[in-house]
Amino acid sequence: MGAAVEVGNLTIAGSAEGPAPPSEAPSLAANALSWLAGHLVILQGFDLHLSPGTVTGLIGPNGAGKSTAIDLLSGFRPPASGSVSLLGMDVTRLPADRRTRLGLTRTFQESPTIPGFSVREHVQLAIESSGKRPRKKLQTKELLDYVGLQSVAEASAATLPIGKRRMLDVARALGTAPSVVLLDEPFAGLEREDEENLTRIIHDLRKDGTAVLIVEHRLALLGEVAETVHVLVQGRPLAKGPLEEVLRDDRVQRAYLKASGPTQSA
Amino acid sequence: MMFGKTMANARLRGVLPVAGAIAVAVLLPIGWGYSTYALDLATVALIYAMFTVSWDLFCGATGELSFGHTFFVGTAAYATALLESRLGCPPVAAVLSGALVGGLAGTLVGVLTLRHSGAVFTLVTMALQLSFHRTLFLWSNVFGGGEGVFIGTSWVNGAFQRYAVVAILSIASLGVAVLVRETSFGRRLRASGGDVRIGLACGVRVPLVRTAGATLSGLIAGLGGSALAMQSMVANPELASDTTSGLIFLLAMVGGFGSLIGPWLAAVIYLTVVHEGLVSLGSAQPMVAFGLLFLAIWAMPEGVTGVFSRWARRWKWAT
Amino acid sequence: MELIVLALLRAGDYVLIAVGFALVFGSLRILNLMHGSFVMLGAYGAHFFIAALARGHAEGTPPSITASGVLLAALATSLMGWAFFKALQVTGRTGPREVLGIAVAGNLFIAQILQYLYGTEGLNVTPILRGSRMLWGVSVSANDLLIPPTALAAVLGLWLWLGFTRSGRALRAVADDSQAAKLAGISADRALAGAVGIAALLAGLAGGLTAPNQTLSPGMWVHPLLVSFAVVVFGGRGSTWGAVGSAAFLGIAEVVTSWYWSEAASQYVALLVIVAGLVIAPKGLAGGTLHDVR
Repeated sequence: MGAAVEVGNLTIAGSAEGPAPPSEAPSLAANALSWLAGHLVILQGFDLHLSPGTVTGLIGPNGAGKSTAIDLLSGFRPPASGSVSLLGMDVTRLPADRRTRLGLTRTFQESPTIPGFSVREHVQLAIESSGKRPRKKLQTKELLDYVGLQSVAEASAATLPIGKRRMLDVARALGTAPSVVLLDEPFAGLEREDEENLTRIIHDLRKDGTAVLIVEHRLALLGEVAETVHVLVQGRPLAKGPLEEVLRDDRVQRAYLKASGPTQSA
Repeated sequence: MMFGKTMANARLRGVLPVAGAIAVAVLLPIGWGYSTYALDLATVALIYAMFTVSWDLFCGATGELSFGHTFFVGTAAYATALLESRLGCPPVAAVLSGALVGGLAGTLVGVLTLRHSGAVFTLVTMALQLSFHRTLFLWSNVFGGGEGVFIGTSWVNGAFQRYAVVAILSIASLGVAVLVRETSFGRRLRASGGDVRIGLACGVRVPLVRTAGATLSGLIAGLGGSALAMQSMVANPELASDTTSGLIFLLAMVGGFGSLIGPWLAAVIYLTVVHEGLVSLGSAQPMVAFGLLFLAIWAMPEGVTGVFSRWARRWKWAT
Repeated sequence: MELIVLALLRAGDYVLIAVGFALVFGSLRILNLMHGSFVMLGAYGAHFFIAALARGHAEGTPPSITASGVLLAALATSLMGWAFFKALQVTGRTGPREVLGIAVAGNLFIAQILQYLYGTEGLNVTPILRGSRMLWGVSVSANDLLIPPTALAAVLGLWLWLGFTRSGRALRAVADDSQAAKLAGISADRALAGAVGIAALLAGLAGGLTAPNQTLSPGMWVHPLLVSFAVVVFGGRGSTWGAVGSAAFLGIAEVVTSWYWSEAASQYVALLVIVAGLVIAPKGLAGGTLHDVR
């Protein structure tokens, strides 16, 4: 559990409310998570162990179950089996909003927006609703500046291009002052400038002691930020380790070739 | 809650509509010279404004279209009437109790519709409203069937006094709705409709917020319903009918979905100006009235205020 | 025995009413709020057309006239249903909330028109077949006997149409994957309008056939709509057969409730199904979720 660290004047991550976990407990751990759709196995035997101040990647061909894993970890889907623990606490049965208030936050692959909300209101909502005590609360304006959205703060979020919507999703996640952040394809569709912004933000999160998990297809960008990477193929974990190592693995290469379509590496 | 910023915003988006509403309320009966007829008409109009505002408070925020608003109105009205006539409850207390019953009805609806949205939500609320309406006839020994339940003593005597009380309540309802919308709770309520994933990912307690919003909506609608029962000295099934429910729905939509002031004004204008204007049509009046609403909602799905704000934006670009 | 016969009749009744609604929902995930009005229009239309056709017949309208009246009403309703959705598409009012609002307004407007034309109550429709017949020792009104076969014919017809005709298969294509269907040149808009047309036809038919059993009122659009919704809630999103079974079950449940409990209680059955079905199993019964519904 990382202590709140100031980055400039802005504290972007802090300790969550809740009991202090034993010192060897990871920020987020998952054990044998599985999910089925009818008889189809979407995810099976997924284990995870995120330590504070680390950035982990989750890669795999399309349809490998990565977004499902995020859904299970964040509480948007109940697992068919397995458990999830956050900061030493078993959260498997807890709903998504509860997990957010406990310090686990996520972004969405489609970067949806709340209809009628401006950019600023999204961030404001996150800051207000995450249940953190005022002392650790962020200021909306500063967070928008930090993420690079100050110029569109009053715009209707639905009208933003996809790249800005992704950054808004990230800003919203940061607004909850999380201890663990799950990013679902955050780099997809980003312009150069926002790519750099996001990379900087992830590095800052690591320095703060936040644990980050990133699902991503743009492997070059992922390689710049992630220390370890998990590979998921057809719902099952295949390999784990530093990105370069994992990509050299025969099985991983074959899995990517077998899956329809080439992977995208920027 | 950043109170300072809220107050600054409120000045623009809150005080203006409320001030406008006060002006309307004061001037409204003038058209007919403050006669008893005019006052009664205006009173009913302002009560319906409470209905539409309370509808918009929840539905405009969450984006879910309720067809069951008369469930709140009806339960409150009948509770008031029954308390006053069968249990000898003093009229004012009966009205307040009726409002509470409306609030409870709101809680019930909120809980039952938690996971539903879109047409499913609309149909569920329709089913609830119909259940209540049917019950009024099936248990006619309790609810008086088609005749309803009569009220012995009014809560306020005098047409002008009743108008004044209702005007205050109606404007206060608008004020509360506007205030709610501008605060953190309002934002949370808006995040609790339709696609609630983002709200959940922000830590919003969606079920709680939604239920609270529905309760508040029911409370205000119930207060209006009780007042309406007191106005006509009877609680009858018309108050709980699908036609009335649909009327509230349509007036709010045509007024301006989500704008609060739009629905408020729409109810007031419809029940005074339009009503009087069409009186010469006799039995064709409801048909023409609903025909106009049908055309209006087809032509302006976002309502009149939606159209205005689009013009305003185009103006801004042009100048 | 009487119970069984009554239950069968009610089941057939509800199947005919609900199968069109289930078709539109099952294939296009749209809950058409005008469906109840289709039934109502079928009933009032039958009255209108029968009266129009029967002019000149001094006494007792022959079944051919009444049957024609009912059919014309059903066709007129079908046309109106199709035209309504076409008009929505042409004017660009296709967003879910827009359609919802306009449908609600439409229901109420139509009800008011009918109220203006015909008053609030006491309207009757002549049955196609008069008198009663004995079925398994139970006396039934002859007109009612027309309903289950019609319902069966409707369901079979739908099944054949969906399975074996080009337009039917086009609808299924849109249902399965509207993007792919678009690429294949099939328009989802046309599919929707067509499906609604069929649904309106069946609903109008139901209205005309069941009209002799009740006095018509302008508020009669509510009950068929909720019955149809209850059928879909209970049967889940799925095949025509699922809706058939569900409608039959609902009809049977209502009659049984009325028999063993009271007529009043049976009126709550559909409503109970809706509320219970959605609260207890909000993820949708019998497969498929009611949530990704427009």
